[in-house]
Amino acid sequence: MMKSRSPVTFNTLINKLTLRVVTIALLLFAVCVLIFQAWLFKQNVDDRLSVTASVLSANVTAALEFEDSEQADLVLSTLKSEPDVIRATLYDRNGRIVALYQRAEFITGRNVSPIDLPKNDLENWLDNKVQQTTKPVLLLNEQIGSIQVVASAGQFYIQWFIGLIVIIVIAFFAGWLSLINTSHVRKNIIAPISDLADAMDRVVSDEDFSVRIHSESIKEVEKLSDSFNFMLANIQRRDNTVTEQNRQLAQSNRDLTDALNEVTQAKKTADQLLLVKSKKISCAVNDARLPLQSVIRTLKTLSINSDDLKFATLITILEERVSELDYMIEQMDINKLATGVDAK
Amino acid sequence: MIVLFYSMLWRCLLLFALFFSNAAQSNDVNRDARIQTALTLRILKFVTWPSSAAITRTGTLHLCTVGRSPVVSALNVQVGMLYNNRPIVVHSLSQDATIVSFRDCDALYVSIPNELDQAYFLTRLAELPIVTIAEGDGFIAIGGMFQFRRLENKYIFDVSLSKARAVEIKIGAPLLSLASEVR
Repeated sequence: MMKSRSPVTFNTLINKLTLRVVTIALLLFAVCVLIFQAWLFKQNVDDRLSVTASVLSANVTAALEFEDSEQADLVLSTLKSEPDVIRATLYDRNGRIVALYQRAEFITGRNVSPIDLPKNDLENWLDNKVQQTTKPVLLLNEQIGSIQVVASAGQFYIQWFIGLIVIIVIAFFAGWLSLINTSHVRKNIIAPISDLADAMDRVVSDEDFSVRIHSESIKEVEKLSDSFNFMLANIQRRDNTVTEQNRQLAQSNRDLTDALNEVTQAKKTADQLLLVKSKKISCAVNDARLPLQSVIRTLKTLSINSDDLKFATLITILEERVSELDYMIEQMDINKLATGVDAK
Repeated sequence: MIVLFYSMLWRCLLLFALFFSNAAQSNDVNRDARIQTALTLRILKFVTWPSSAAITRTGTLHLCTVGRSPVVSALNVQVGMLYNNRPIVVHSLSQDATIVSFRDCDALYVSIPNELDQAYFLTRLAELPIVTIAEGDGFIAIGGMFQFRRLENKYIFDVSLSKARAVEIKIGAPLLSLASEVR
Protein backbone atom coordinates (compact mmCIF):
# COMPACT_ATOMS: atom_id res chain seq x y z
CA MET A 1 0.00 0.00 0.00
CA MET A 2 1.38 3.33 -0.98
CA LYS A 3 2.21 5.63 1.83
CA SER A 4 0.55 8.97 1.39
CA ARG A 5 2.96 11.84 1.51
CA SER A 6 2.09 14.82 3.60
CA PRO A 7 2.12 18.02 1.59
CA VAL A 8 5.13 20.26 2.05
CA THR A 9 5.20 24.01 2.07
CA PHE A 10 6.89 26.18 -0.48
CA ASN A 11 9.15 27.45 2.26
CA THR A 12 10.46 23.96 2.99
CA LEU A 13 10.87 23.21 -0.69
CA ILE A 14 12.83 26.38 -1.37
CA ASN A 15 14.99 25.82 1.71
CA LYS A 16 15.74 22.28 0.57
CA LEU A 17 16.44 23.46 -2.95
CA THR A 18 18.77 26.20 -1.78
CA LEU A 19 20.61 23.92 0.60
CA ARG A 20 21.00 21.21 -2.03
CA VAL A 21 22.26 23.59 -4.68
CA VAL A 22 24.63 25.35 -2.32
CA THR A 23 25.90 22.09 -0.85
CA ILE A 24 26.48 20.44 -4.22
CA ALA A 25 28.14 23.55 -5.65
CA LEU A 26 30.36 24.05 -2.64
CA LEU A 27 31.29 20.37 -2.44
CA LEU A 28 32.24 20.30 -6.11
CA PHE A 29 34.15 23.53 -5.69
CA ALA A 30 35.96 22.27 -2.59
CA VAL A 31 36.90 18.96 -4.20
CA CYS A 32 38.15 20.71 -7.33
CA VAL A 33 40.14 23.23 -5.32
CA LEU A 34 41.69 20.53 -3.13
CA ILE A 35 42.62 18.40 -6.13
CA PHE A 36 43.98 21.44 -7.92
CA GLN A 37 45.89 22.44 -4.81
CA ALA A 38 47.39 18.96 -4.50
CA TRP A 39 48.36 18.98 -8.16
CA LEU A 40 49.74 22.50 -7.91
CA PHE A 41 51.70 21.70 -4.79
CA LYS A 42 53.16 18.59 -6.37
CA GLN A 43 54.11 20.57 -9.45
CA ASN A 44 55.68 23.25 -7.28
CA VAL A 45 57.60 20.74 -5.24
CA ASP A 46 58.68 18.99 -8.44
CA ASP A 47 59.87 22.24 -9.93
CA ARG A 48 61.55 23.38 -6.75
CA LEU A 49 63.25 20.04 -6.25
CA SER A 50 64.39 20.07 -9.84
CA VAL A 51 65.80 23.59 -9.50
CA THR A 52 67.40 22.74 -6.17
CA ALA A 53 68.94 19.60 -7.58
CA SER A 54 70.19 21.52 -10.62
CA VAL A 55 71.76 24.24 -8.48
CA LEU A 56 73.33 21.65 -6.20
CA SER A 57 74.51 19.71 -9.19
CA ALA A 58 76.27 22.81 -10.52
CA ASN A 59 77.77 23.64 -7.15
CA VAL A 60 79.13 20.21 -6.35
CA THR A 61 80.91 19.63 -9.64
CA ALA A 62 84.26 20.82 -8.32
CA ALA A 63 83.83 18.99 -5.04
CA LEU A 64 82.96 15.82 -6.91
CA GLU A 65 85.72 16.25 -9.46
CA PHE A 66 88.30 16.91 -6.75
CA GLU A 67 86.75 14.21 -4.53
CA ASP A 68 86.38 16.73 -1.75
CA SER A 69 83.72 15.24 0.51
CA GLU A 70 83.94 18.05 3.03
CA GLN A 71 83.21 20.64 0.37
CA ALA A 72 80.38 18.48 -0.98
CA ASP A 73 78.93 18.18 2.53
CA LEU A 74 79.22 21.94 2.87
CA VAL A 75 77.34 22.47 -0.38
CA LEU A 76 74.65 19.97 0.57
CA SER A 77 74.27 21.55 4.00
CA THR A 78 72.83 24.64 2.30
CA LEU A 79 69.65 22.55 2.06
CA LYS A 80 68.96 23.42 5.70
CA SER A 81 67.12 26.43 4.37
CA GLU A 82 64.75 24.11 2.48
CA PRO A 83 62.33 22.70 5.08
CA ASP A 84 60.80 20.24 2.61
CA VAL A 85 64.08 18.56 1.71
CA ILE A 86 64.75 15.67 4.02
CA ARG A 87 67.65 14.07 2.24
CA ALA A 88 70.20 14.75 -0.48
CA THR A 89 72.74 12.25 -1.65
CA LEU A 90 75.69 12.90 -3.91
CA TYR A 91 77.00 9.93 -5.89
CA ASP A 92 80.20 9.76 -7.90
CA ARG A 93 80.34 8.33 -11.39
CA ASN A 94 80.67 4.82 -9.93
CA GLY A 95 77.55 5.16 -7.81
CA ARG A 96 79.39 5.52 -4.53
CA ILE A 97 78.04 8.00 -2.01
CA VAL A 98 80.33 11.00 -1.79
CA ALA A 99 78.24 13.19 0.47
CA LEU A 100 74.96 12.84 2.28
CA TYR A 101 72.69 15.43 3.78
CA GLN A 102 69.80 14.36 5.96
CA ARG A 103 67.49 16.56 7.97
CA ALA A 104 68.01 16.00 11.68
CA GLU A 105 64.48 14.84 12.49
CA PHE A 106 64.63 12.21 9.75
CA ILE A 107 67.98 10.69 10.64
CA THR A 108 66.80 8.23 13.27
CA GLY A 109 63.09 7.79 12.79
CA ARG A 110 62.88 7.50 9.07
CA ASN A 111 65.46 5.64 7.15
CA VAL A 112 64.24 5.62 3.58
CA SER A 113 66.75 4.27 1.15
CA PRO A 114 67.15 6.87 -1.60
CA ILE A 115 67.54 4.17 -4.23
CA ASP A 116 64.38 2.32 -3.28
CA LEU A 117 62.11 5.34 -3.41
CA PRO A 118 58.87 4.92 -5.32
CA LYS A 119 58.16 6.24 -8.76
CA ASN A 120 57.52 9.90 -9.00
CA ASP A 121 53.79 9.79 -9.51
CA LEU A 122 51.13 11.39 -7.35
CA GLU A 123 49.69 8.17 -5.96
CA ASN A 124 52.99 6.79 -4.82
CA TRP A 125 53.96 10.17 -3.61
CA LEU A 126 50.85 10.48 -1.46
CA ASP A 127 51.25 6.92 -0.19
CA ASN A 128 54.87 7.31 0.71
CA LYS A 129 54.72 10.99 1.56
CA VAL A 130 58.02 11.59 -0.17
CA GLN A 131 59.06 13.00 -3.48
CA GLN A 132 62.41 12.71 -5.12
CA THR A 133 64.35 13.89 -8.08
CA THR A 134 67.69 12.85 -9.44
CA LYS A 135 69.95 15.04 -11.54
CA PRO A 136 73.22 14.17 -13.19
CA VAL A 137 76.30 16.16 -12.22
CA LEU A 138 77.85 17.23 -15.48
CA LEU A 139 81.25 18.66 -16.11
CA LEU A 140 82.13 19.55 -19.67
CA ASN A 141 79.26 17.41 -20.97
CA GLU A 142 80.55 14.42 -19.04
CA GLN A 143 78.54 12.93 -16.19
CA ILE A 144 80.81 12.79 -13.20
CA GLY A 145 78.14 11.80 -10.73
CA SER A 146 74.54 12.30 -9.75
CA ILE A 147 72.62 13.96 -7.00
CA GLN A 148 69.37 12.78 -5.53
CA VAL A 149 67.14 15.12 -3.55
CA VAL A 150 64.23 13.78 -1.50
CA ALA A 151 61.45 16.01 -0.18
CA SER A 152 58.83 15.32 2.43
CA ALA A 153 55.15 15.74 1.72
CA GLY A 154 54.58 16.95 5.29
CA GLN A 155 54.51 20.55 4.20
CA PHE A 156 51.96 19.60 1.57
CA TYR A 157 49.68 18.00 4.17
CA ILE A 158 49.94 21.08 6.39
CA GLN A 159 49.08 23.38 3.47
CA TRP A 160 46.38 20.98 2.30
CA PHE A 161 44.86 20.85 5.77
CA ILE A 162 44.96 24.64 6.06
CA GLY A 163 43.37 24.85 2.62
CA LEU A 164 40.68 22.40 3.72
CA ILE A 165 39.94 24.44 6.85
CA VAL A 166 39.81 27.64 4.80
CA ILE A 167 37.50 26.00 2.27
CA ILE A 168 35.21 24.68 5.01
CA VAL A 169 35.04 28.14 6.61
CA ILE A 170 34.40 29.75 3.23
CA ALA A 171 31.81 27.09 2.42
CA PHE A 172 29.92 27.72 5.66
CA PHE A 173 30.15 31.44 5.17
CA ALA A 174 29.03 31.17 1.54
CA GLY A 175 26.18 28.86 2.56
CA TRP A 176 25.09 31.27 5.25
CA LEU A 177 25.28 34.20 2.84
CA SER A 178 23.36 32.33 0.17
CA LEU A 179 20.64 31.33 2.65
CA ILE A 180 20.32 34.91 3.82
CA ASN A 181 20.24 36.09 0.25
CA THR A 182 17.71 33.50 -0.81
CA SER A 183 15.47 34.29 2.14
CA HIS A 184 14.71 37.62 0.48
CA VAL A 185 13.98 35.91 -2.82
CA ARG A 186 12.03 33.26 -0.95
CA LYS A 187 9.85 35.95 0.61
CA ASN A 188 9.22 37.41 -2.82
CA ILE A 189 8.19 34.02 -4.14
CA ILE A 190 6.27 32.71 -1.16
CA ALA A 191 4.43 35.86 -0.05
CA PRO A 192 2.29 36.20 -3.20
CA ILE A 193 1.58 32.47 -3.21
CA SER A 194 0.64 32.59 0.49
CA ASP A 195 -1.57 35.58 -0.27
CA LEU A 196 -3.17 33.56 -3.04
CA ALA A 197 -3.74 30.63 -0.70
CA ASP A 198 -5.17 32.90 2.01
CA ALA A 199 -7.43 34.59 -0.49
CA MET A 200 -8.62 31.21 -1.72
CA ASP A 201 -9.33 30.20 1.87
CA ARG A 202 -11.41 33.34 2.40
CA VAL A 203 -13.24 32.77 -0.85
CA VAL A 204 -13.95 29.16 0.04
CA SER A 205 -14.87 29.67 3.70
CA ASP A 206 -16.52 33.12 3.67
CA GLU A 207 -17.57 33.23 0.03
CA ASP A 208 -16.06 36.65 -0.01
CA PHE A 209 -15.37 37.45 -3.64
CA SER A 210 -14.24 40.97 -2.90
CA VAL A 211 -10.78 39.72 -1.92
CA ARG A 212 -7.97 41.03 -4.13
CA ILE A 213 -4.25 40.20 -4.24
CA HIS A 214 -1.51 42.73 -4.98
CA SER A 215 1.78 41.33 -6.21
CA GLU A 216 4.34 43.03 -8.40
CA SER A 217 7.45 41.10 -7.43
CA ILE A 218 7.37 38.19 -9.85
CA LYS A 219 5.99 38.41 -13.34
CA GLU A 220 4.39 34.95 -13.32
CA VAL A 221 2.91 35.43 -9.86
CA GLU A 222 1.73 38.88 -10.86
CA LYS A 223 0.05 37.33 -13.90
CA LEU A 224 -1.46 34.63 -11.70
CA SER A 225 -2.67 37.23 -9.20
CA ASP A 226 -4.16 39.36 -11.97
CA SER A 227 -5.95 36.35 -13.41
CA PHE A 228 -7.14 35.35 -9.95
CA ASN A 229 -8.35 38.90 -9.30
CA PHE A 230 -10.05 38.96 -12.70
CA MET A 231 -11.73 35.64 -11.93
CA LEU A 232 -12.84 36.89 -8.51
CA ALA A 233 -14.12 40.12 -10.02
CA ASN A 234 -16.14 38.16 -12.57
CA ILE A 235 -17.50 35.87 -9.90
CA GLN A 236 -18.32 38.86 -7.72
CA ARG A 237 -20.02 40.64 -10.62
CA ARG A 238 -22.07 37.54 -11.40
CA ASP A 239 -22.78 37.08 -7.74
CA ASN A 240 -23.96 40.67 -7.51
CA THR A 241 -26.10 40.22 -10.60
CA VAL A 242 -27.63 37.05 -9.22
CA THR A 243 -28.23 38.75 -5.89
CA GLU A 244 -29.87 41.71 -7.60
CA GLN A 245 -31.97 39.43 -9.74
CA ASN A 246 -32.96 37.44 -6.67
CA ARG A 247 -33.84 40.63 -4.93
CA GLN A 248 -35.88 41.79 -7.91
CA LEU A 249 -37.50 38.39 -8.13
CA ALA A 250 -38.36 38.49 -4.48
CA GLN A 251 -39.75 41.99 -4.90
CA SER A 252 -41.79 40.84 -7.88
CA ASN A 253 -42.98 37.93 -5.88
CA ARG A 254 -43.98 40.19 -3.08
CA ASP A 255 -45.69 42.54 -5.50
CA LEU A 256 -47.48 39.65 -7.13
CA THR A 257 -48.57 38.34 -3.77
CA ASP A 258 -49.84 41.75 -2.80
CA ALA A 259 -51.60 42.08 -6.12
CA LEU A 260 -53.12 38.66 -5.73
CA ASN A 261 -54.27 39.54 -2.27
CA GLU A 262 -55.75 42.73 -3.57
CA VAL A 263 -57.37 40.89 -6.45
CA THR A 264 -58.72 38.28 -4.07
CA GLN A 265 -60.01 40.96 -1.80
CA ALA A 266 -61.51 42.81 -4.73
CA LYS A 267 -63.05 39.63 -6.05
CA LYS A 268 -64.47 38.93 -2.67
CA THR A 269 -65.89 42.39 -2.48
CA ALA A 270 -67.15 42.11 -6.03
CA ASP A 271 -68.70 38.77 -5.27
CA GLN A 272 -70.38 40.22 -2.26
CA LEU A 273 -71.51 43.17 -4.29
CA LEU A 274 -72.60 40.87 -7.05
CA LEU A 275 -74.46 38.77 -4.59
CA VAL A 276 -76.13 41.76 -3.20
CA LYS A 277 -76.85 43.05 -6.65
CA SER A 278 -78.01 39.68 -7.81
CA LYS A 279 -80.27 39.45 -4.85
CA LYS A 280 -81.57 42.84 -5.68
CA ILE A 281 -81.94 41.94 -9.34
CA SER A 282 -83.45 38.65 -8.47
CA CYS A 283 -85.91 40.39 -6.23
CA ALA A 284 -86.49 42.94 -8.88
CA VAL A 285 -86.91 40.25 -11.53
CA ASN A 286 -89.10 38.32 -9.24
CA ASP A 287 -90.94 41.48 -8.51
CA ALA A 288 -91.28 42.14 -12.20
CA ARG A 289 -92.25 38.59 -13.10
CA LEU A 290 -95.19 38.41 -10.72
CA PRO A 291 -97.00 41.47 -12.18
CA LEU A 292 -96.25 40.20 -15.60
CA GLN A 293 -97.77 36.87 -14.81
CA SER A 294 -100.77 38.68 -13.37
CA VAL A 295 -100.97 40.73 -16.52
CA ILE A 296 -100.69 37.58 -18.63
CA ARG A 297 -103.35 35.93 -16.64
CA THR A 298 -105.51 38.97 -16.96
CA LEU A 299 -104.88 39.14 -20.65
CA LYS A 300 -105.61 35.46 -21.05
CA THR A 301 -108.80 35.95 -19.26
CA LEU A 302 -109.62 38.85 -21.44
CA SER A 303 -108.61 37.01 -24.61
CA ILE A 304 -110.91 34.19 -23.92
CA ASN A 305 -113.64 36.41 -24.76
CA SER A 306 -111.98 38.05 -27.62
CA ASP A 307 -110.55 36.97 -30.81
CA ASP A 308 -108.30 39.79 -31.09
CA LEU A 309 -104.94 38.67 -32.17
CA LYS A 310 -103.38 41.54 -30.43
CA PHE A 311 -104.09 39.91 -27.12
CA ALA A 312 -102.61 36.68 -28.24
CA THR A 313 -99.52 38.42 -29.54
CA LEU A 314 -99.16 40.47 -26.41
CA ILE A 315 -99.63 37.41 -24.27
CA THR A 316 -96.99 35.59 -26.26
CA ILE A 317 -94.62 38.47 -25.94
CA LEU A 318 -95.22 38.71 -22.24
CA GLU A 319 -94.79 34.98 -21.78
CA GLU A 320 -91.50 35.18 -23.63
CA ARG A 321 -90.47 37.99 -21.32
CA VAL A 322 -91.43 35.92 -18.30
CA SER A 323 -89.51 32.99 -19.70
CA GLU A 324 -86.54 35.26 -20.14
CA LEU A 325 -86.91 36.40 -16.58
CA ASP A 326 -87.07 32.80 -15.42
CA TYR A 327 -84.05 32.03 -17.41
CA MET A 328 -82.31 35.00 -15.86
CA ILE A 329 -83.33 33.86 -12.39
CA GLU A 330 -82.13 30.36 -13.16
CA GLN A 331 -78.91 31.63 -14.58
CA MET A 332 -78.20 33.88 -11.63
CA ASP A 333 -78.83 30.94 -9.28
CA ILE A 334 -78.85 33.24 -6.40
CA ASN A 335 -78.79 30.46 -3.88
CA LYS A 336 -75.68 28.92 -5.34
CA LEU A 337 -74.13 32.31 -5.55
CA ALA A 338 -74.94 33.00 -1.99
CA THR A 339 -73.51 29.62 -0.96
CA GLY A 340 -70.28 30.29 -2.88
CA VAL A 341 -69.78 33.69 -1.32
CA ASP A 342 -70.39 32.24 2.07
CA ALA A 343 -67.93 29.47 1.45
CA LYS A 344 -65.22 31.96 0.59
CA MET B 1 136.75 -14.71 7.38
CA ILE B 2 133.75 -14.33 9.57
CA VAL B 3 134.54 -10.66 9.98
CA LEU B 4 134.74 -10.28 6.22
CA PHE B 5 131.44 -12.14 5.85
CA TYR B 6 129.65 -9.85 8.34
CA SER B 7 131.27 -6.80 6.73
CA MET B 8 129.93 -7.87 3.33
CA LEU B 9 126.55 -8.69 4.82
CA TRP B 10 126.39 -5.30 6.48
CA ARG B 11 127.27 -3.54 3.23
CA CYS B 12 124.63 -5.53 1.40
CA LEU B 13 122.06 -4.60 3.99
CA LEU B 14 123.06 -0.94 3.69
CA LEU B 15 122.80 -1.08 -0.09
CA PHE B 16 119.44 -2.82 0.21
CA ALA B 17 118.17 -0.22 2.66
CA LEU B 18 119.50 2.60 0.50
CA PHE B 19 117.81 1.06 -2.56
CA PHE B 20 114.42 0.81 -0.87
CA SER B 21 114.81 4.23 0.68
CA ASN B 22 115.38 5.74 -2.76
CA ALA B 23 112.55 3.69 -4.13
CA ALA B 24 110.21 4.92 -1.42
CA GLN B 25 111.31 8.48 -2.00
CA SER B 26 110.83 8.00 -5.70
CA ASN B 27 107.39 6.60 -5.05
CA ASP B 28 106.51 9.68 -2.98
CA VAL B 29 107.73 11.95 -5.77
CA ASN B 30 105.76 10.05 -8.34
CA ARG B 31 102.68 10.18 -6.15
CA ASP B 32 102.98 13.95 -5.72
CA ALA B 33 103.52 14.35 -9.43
CA ARG B 34 100.46 12.27 -10.19
CA ILE B 35 98.37 14.28 -7.76
CA GLN B 36 99.54 17.58 -9.19
CA THR B 37 98.97 16.34 -12.71
CA ALA B 38 95.45 15.25 -11.85
CA LEU B 39 94.80 18.55 -10.09
CA THR B 40 96.11 20.48 -13.09
CA LEU B 41 93.88 18.61 -15.50
CA ARG B 42 90.88 18.94 -13.20
CA ILE B 43 91.43 22.65 -12.70
CA LEU B 44 91.43 23.14 -16.45
CA LYS B 45 87.92 21.66 -16.61
CA PHE B 46 86.61 24.67 -14.72
CA VAL B 47 88.33 27.26 -16.87
CA THR B 48 86.81 29.10 -19.81
CA TRP B 49 89.14 30.78 -22.24
CA PRO B 50 88.47 33.92 -24.27
CA SER B 51 87.98 33.81 -28.01
CA SER B 52 91.59 34.79 -28.62
CA ALA B 53 92.89 31.65 -26.87
CA ALA B 54 94.37 28.78 -28.83
CA ILE B 55 91.73 26.31 -27.66
CA THR B 56 88.98 28.46 -29.16
CA ARG B 57 90.82 28.86 -32.38
CA THR B 58 92.07 25.31 -32.87
CA GLY B 59 89.56 23.26 -30.92
CA THR B 60 92.39 21.52 -29.11
CA LEU B 61 93.68 22.08 -25.60
CA HIS B 62 97.33 22.99 -25.75
CA LEU B 63 99.02 22.16 -22.47
CA CYS B 64 102.56 23.45 -22.28
CA THR B 65 105.27 22.72 -19.75
CA VAL B 66 108.41 24.63 -18.92
CA GLY B 67 111.32 23.25 -16.94
CA ARG B 68 112.06 19.79 -15.64
CA SER B 69 110.29 18.04 -12.84
CA PRO B 70 108.36 14.83 -12.23
CA VAL B 71 105.11 16.79 -12.75
CA VAL B 72 106.32 18.02 -16.13
CA SER B 73 107.26 14.48 -17.02
CA ALA B 74 103.86 13.22 -15.87
CA LEU B 75 102.09 15.92 -17.84
CA ASN B 76 104.07 15.12 -20.94
CA VAL B 77 102.57 11.67 -21.05
CA GLN B 78 99.00 13.04 -21.07
CA VAL B 79 99.11 13.41 -24.83
CA GLY B 80 95.95 12.17 -26.46
CA MET B 81 93.75 12.52 -23.41
CA LEU B 82 90.43 14.11 -24.02
CA TYR B 83 89.31 17.40 -22.63
CA ASN B 84 85.62 18.10 -23.24
CA ASN B 85 85.78 15.67 -26.14
CA ARG B 86 88.79 17.52 -27.48
CA PRO B 87 92.29 16.04 -27.59
CA ILE B 88 94.98 17.41 -25.31
CA VAL B 89 98.24 18.35 -26.99
CA VAL B 90 101.21 18.68 -24.68
CA HIS B 91 104.12 20.96 -25.62
CA SER B 92 107.36 20.94 -23.69
CA LEU B 93 108.93 24.36 -24.11
CA SER B 94 112.07 26.05 -22.96
CA GLN B 95 111.82 29.07 -20.76
CA ASP B 96 113.94 30.92 -23.28
CA ALA B 97 111.53 30.18 -26.12
CA THR B 98 110.11 33.14 -27.99
CA ILE B 99 106.81 34.63 -26.94
CA VAL B 100 105.31 33.46 -30.22
CA SER B 101 105.82 29.88 -29.11
CA PHE B 102 103.64 30.47 -26.11
CA ARG B 103 100.76 32.00 -28.09
CA ASP B 104 99.58 28.48 -28.87
CA CYS B 105 99.44 27.51 -25.20
CA ASP B 106 96.22 27.43 -23.23
CA ALA B 107 97.74 26.24 -19.99
CA LEU B 108 101.28 26.23 -18.80
CA TYR B 109 102.81 24.26 -15.97
CA VAL B 110 105.86 26.11 -14.80
CA SER B 111 108.67 24.30 -13.12
CA ILE B 112 111.47 26.84 -12.84
CA PRO B 113 113.37 26.58 -9.59
CA ASN B 114 114.57 30.16 -9.43
CA GLU B 115 111.84 32.61 -8.43
CA LEU B 116 113.48 35.52 -10.25
CA ASP B 117 113.59 33.57 -13.45
CA GLN B 118 110.00 32.53 -12.83
CA ALA B 119 108.95 36.17 -12.33
CA TYR B 120 110.76 37.27 -15.44
CA PHE B 121 109.24 34.44 -17.41
CA LEU B 122 105.71 35.28 -16.21
CA THR B 123 106.19 38.94 -17.04
CA ARG B 124 106.71 37.96 -20.66
CA LEU B 125 103.43 36.02 -20.68
CA ALA B 126 101.45 38.63 -18.79
CA GLU B 127 99.26 39.62 -21.77
CA LEU B 128 98.52 36.12 -23.03
CA PRO B 129 95.33 34.18 -22.08
CA ILE B 130 97.28 31.32 -20.55
CA VAL B 131 96.44 29.52 -17.35
CA THR B 132 99.72 29.37 -15.46
CA ILE B 133 100.17 26.72 -12.79
CA ALA B 134 103.08 25.90 -10.55
CA GLU B 135 103.94 24.43 -7.19
CA GLY B 136 105.07 26.85 -4.52
CA ASP B 137 103.89 29.51 -2.13
CA GLY B 138 105.04 32.55 -4.07
CA PHE B 139 103.89 31.72 -7.59
CA ILE B 140 100.77 33.89 -7.46
CA ALA B 141 102.70 36.72 -5.88
CA ILE B 142 104.97 36.94 -8.91
CA GLY B 143 102.14 36.84 -11.44
CA GLY B 144 100.99 33.22 -11.58
CA MET B 145 97.36 32.12 -11.72
CA PHE B 146 97.22 28.82 -9.79
CA GLN B 147 99.65 27.55 -7.23
CA PHE B 148 99.72 24.22 -5.44
CA ARG B 149 100.68 24.01 -1.83
CA ARG B 150 101.17 21.00 0.31
CA LEU B 151 99.31 21.12 3.58
CA GLU B 152 100.11 18.22 5.85
CA ASN B 153 99.18 15.20 3.80
CA LYS B 154 97.22 16.81 0.99
CA TYR B 155 97.51 19.37 -1.76
CA ILE B 156 95.60 22.60 -1.76
CA PHE B 157 95.57 25.32 -4.37
CA ASP B 158 95.29 29.09 -4.50
CA VAL B 159 93.83 31.15 -7.31
CA SER B 160 94.60 34.63 -8.55
CA LEU B 161 91.23 35.71 -9.84
CA SER B 162 92.51 39.20 -10.69
CA LYS B 163 95.20 37.75 -12.91
CA ALA B 164 92.62 35.52 -14.63
CA ARG B 165 90.28 38.42 -15.19
CA ALA B 166 93.11 40.52 -16.58
CA VAL B 167 93.47 38.09 -19.49
CA GLU B 168 89.72 37.41 -19.74
CA ILE B 169 89.96 33.88 -18.42
CA LYS B 170 86.93 32.78 -16.48
CA ILE B 171 87.19 30.41 -13.56
CA GLY B 172 84.13 28.43 -12.48
CA ALA B 173 82.60 29.33 -9.15
CA PRO B 174 82.66 25.74 -7.86
CA LEU B 175 86.41 25.69 -8.37
CA LEU B 176 86.79 28.96 -6.52
CA SER B 177 84.84 27.49 -3.62
CA LEU B 178 87.42 24.72 -3.42
CA ALA B 179 90.39 27.07 -3.57
CA SER B 180 92.23 27.60 -0.34
CA GLU B 181 92.80 31.24 -1.16
CA VAL B 182 91.33 33.45 -3.85
CA ARG B 183 93.21 36.66 -4.57
